[in-house]
Amino acid sequence: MHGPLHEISLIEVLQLLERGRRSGVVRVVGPDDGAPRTITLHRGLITAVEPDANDAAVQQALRRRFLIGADDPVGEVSLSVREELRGRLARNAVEMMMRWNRGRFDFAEGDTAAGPLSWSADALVMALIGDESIRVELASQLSDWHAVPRFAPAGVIAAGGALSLTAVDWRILDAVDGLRDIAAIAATLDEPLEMVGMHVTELARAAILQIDSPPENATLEAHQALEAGEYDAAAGRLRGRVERAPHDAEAWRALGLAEVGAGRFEAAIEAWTVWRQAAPERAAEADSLIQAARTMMEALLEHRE
Amino acid sequence: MVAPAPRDGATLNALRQRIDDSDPVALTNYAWFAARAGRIADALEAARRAASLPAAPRAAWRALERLAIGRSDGLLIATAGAETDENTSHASPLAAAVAAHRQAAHAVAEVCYHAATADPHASSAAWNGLGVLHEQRGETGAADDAWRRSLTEPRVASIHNRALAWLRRDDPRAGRELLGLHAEMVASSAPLLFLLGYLALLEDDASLARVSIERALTIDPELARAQFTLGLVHERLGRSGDALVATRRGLLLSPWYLPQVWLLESQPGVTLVEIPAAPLGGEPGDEVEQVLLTLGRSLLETGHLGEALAVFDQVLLRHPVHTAALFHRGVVLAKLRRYHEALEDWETVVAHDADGDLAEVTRRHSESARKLAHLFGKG
Repeated sequence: MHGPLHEISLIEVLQLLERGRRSGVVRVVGPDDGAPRTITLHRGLITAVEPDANDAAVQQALRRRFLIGADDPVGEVSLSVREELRGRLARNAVEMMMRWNRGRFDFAEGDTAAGPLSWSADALVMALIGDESIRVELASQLSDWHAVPRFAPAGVIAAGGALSLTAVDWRILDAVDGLRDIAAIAATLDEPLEMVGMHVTELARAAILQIDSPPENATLEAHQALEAGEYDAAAGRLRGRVERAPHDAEAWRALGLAEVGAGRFEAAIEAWTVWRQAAPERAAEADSLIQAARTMMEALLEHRE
Repeated sequence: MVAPAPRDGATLNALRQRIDDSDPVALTNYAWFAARAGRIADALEAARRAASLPAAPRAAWRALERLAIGRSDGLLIATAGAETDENTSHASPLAAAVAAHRQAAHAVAEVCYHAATADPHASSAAWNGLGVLHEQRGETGAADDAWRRSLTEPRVASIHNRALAWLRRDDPRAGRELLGLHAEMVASSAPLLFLLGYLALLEDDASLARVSIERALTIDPELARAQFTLGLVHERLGRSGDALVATRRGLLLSPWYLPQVWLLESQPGVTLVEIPAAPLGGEPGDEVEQVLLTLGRSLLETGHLGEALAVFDQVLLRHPVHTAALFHRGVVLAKLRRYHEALEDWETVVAHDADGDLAEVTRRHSESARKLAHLFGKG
């Protein structure tokens, strides 16, 4: 069983395989040919997602979350925490794959054993729909994730009640600098937008953070200008935005689009190169856009010659 | 990833005010946050507080260890329920201090001991640990002060260490006086009885040494340093057979003779942890050689020539020109009629220590050996 993802989405594939209680491995190749994923199924249930949720990925995620040190074994953290993290990594990966409309899948039937996960594709869809509805609702409250959290004045913080903060709360507080918006913080922390958005909202309720609307909402306005085909106007706004908020990965991405729209491919490549650094998790996407801009630039040069 | 801008002190202080002082996880995470913001003193205060609480998470100890040596990197975030049972069992500032002390991580140990002094149940043991730490660093005034505090609630470990410190400062009489002050505790404690005997031996009172050490061994027959020292005492008293028995028992218990150890308590009243006291004016292992020589001499005296030879060989492996070992090996070899080899050993003694105590007698032995070698016509 195999096919292109623009004809049948991954979730439909997984639902079909679940109904048939099939065992085997689905190999999925998305927009980046060099980064294939595999989803292992055992009697129709998802049991492993690799490499995004394998043991090495869990260990790396524990380190990035400051739950283990560089040289610590994963056994320093309890199994329940490790497996919860594995589940989150797998869910994020499957969600990302579900959005792919380029690439292909190949299912190879075979004997498999039970794995660290045991997910029904149908249940996964329901959970992802739940995430999406939270995301949409929060996005509207948080200026499409461009709201910028900053610390409340010390007097306001001190006047609040006893704190009960989670590990994610502390990491968010560590990332808050009054410049980065929620999207940039989520990218920095490698956590889902809706999770970071919910925690930031709670921290604001606890009188620790204040949430500012984007000063000029430059990125949002620039998007509107982009959609209206006003590329120079969009680029101008975005240049101002990245000057003030150099960590705003989304602004760099949009700036690249605006520059391409205006025919300035070299500037677009520069913007996307910065975007690639600011959001390494989207490196594959950035590379493909940079490559496309280079191709366009070369084609134009050839045409001129 | 770009590092966030440093948080200002007022914001951190405001957050700290809202942290529950009895919540080790929150305190640990505040320490992580403050360290990341470059506020090391704030971080250290929170980590100390966290580590002093029951069920302090592993991350609290990590923070304390790193911050105590001036590092702000490598700190961890604590999550309730994130740790395995193994990591959380027996976690206490005192246990952490003793663990660090055993590994010679003195800065960490010091911080943890200070944290432990806040706990009334651990205070005396913690001050005792600090006494040892300061003594090891040569900070005698601070050591005296720490032991004074510890001895407000006298314990075997603190009495022992205080007396040992007097001995090591060339004042064994002060050590014996201290033991006399706590005679009741001494009478029922193997380490204290041993130390009393050891002090007596060093002051040439072999009879008192024998009584004390034999009493220590009735309480704790597996106290290796007492067995070894009893061997030395018997030899001093001219009782070679008993010396041999005691030394052999010691060797069954341990290959090392460490007469001077510091005693620490990781759980007050439960177990004593020993760390070797560095030899004074000698090299590590000198005490072991002393015992081996005693053993060798006892074996020689009691006619166990093969074993005696092996023991002296062992000493000479480490110090090929150890004159006492060479002299005695020569005696063994001569008794085994291996005169040429005996001559070689004795000539080495004379060559290296021409004016020493053993030189004259060695020369006489050499002369006899030459005659005997000639007479028997073999080596």
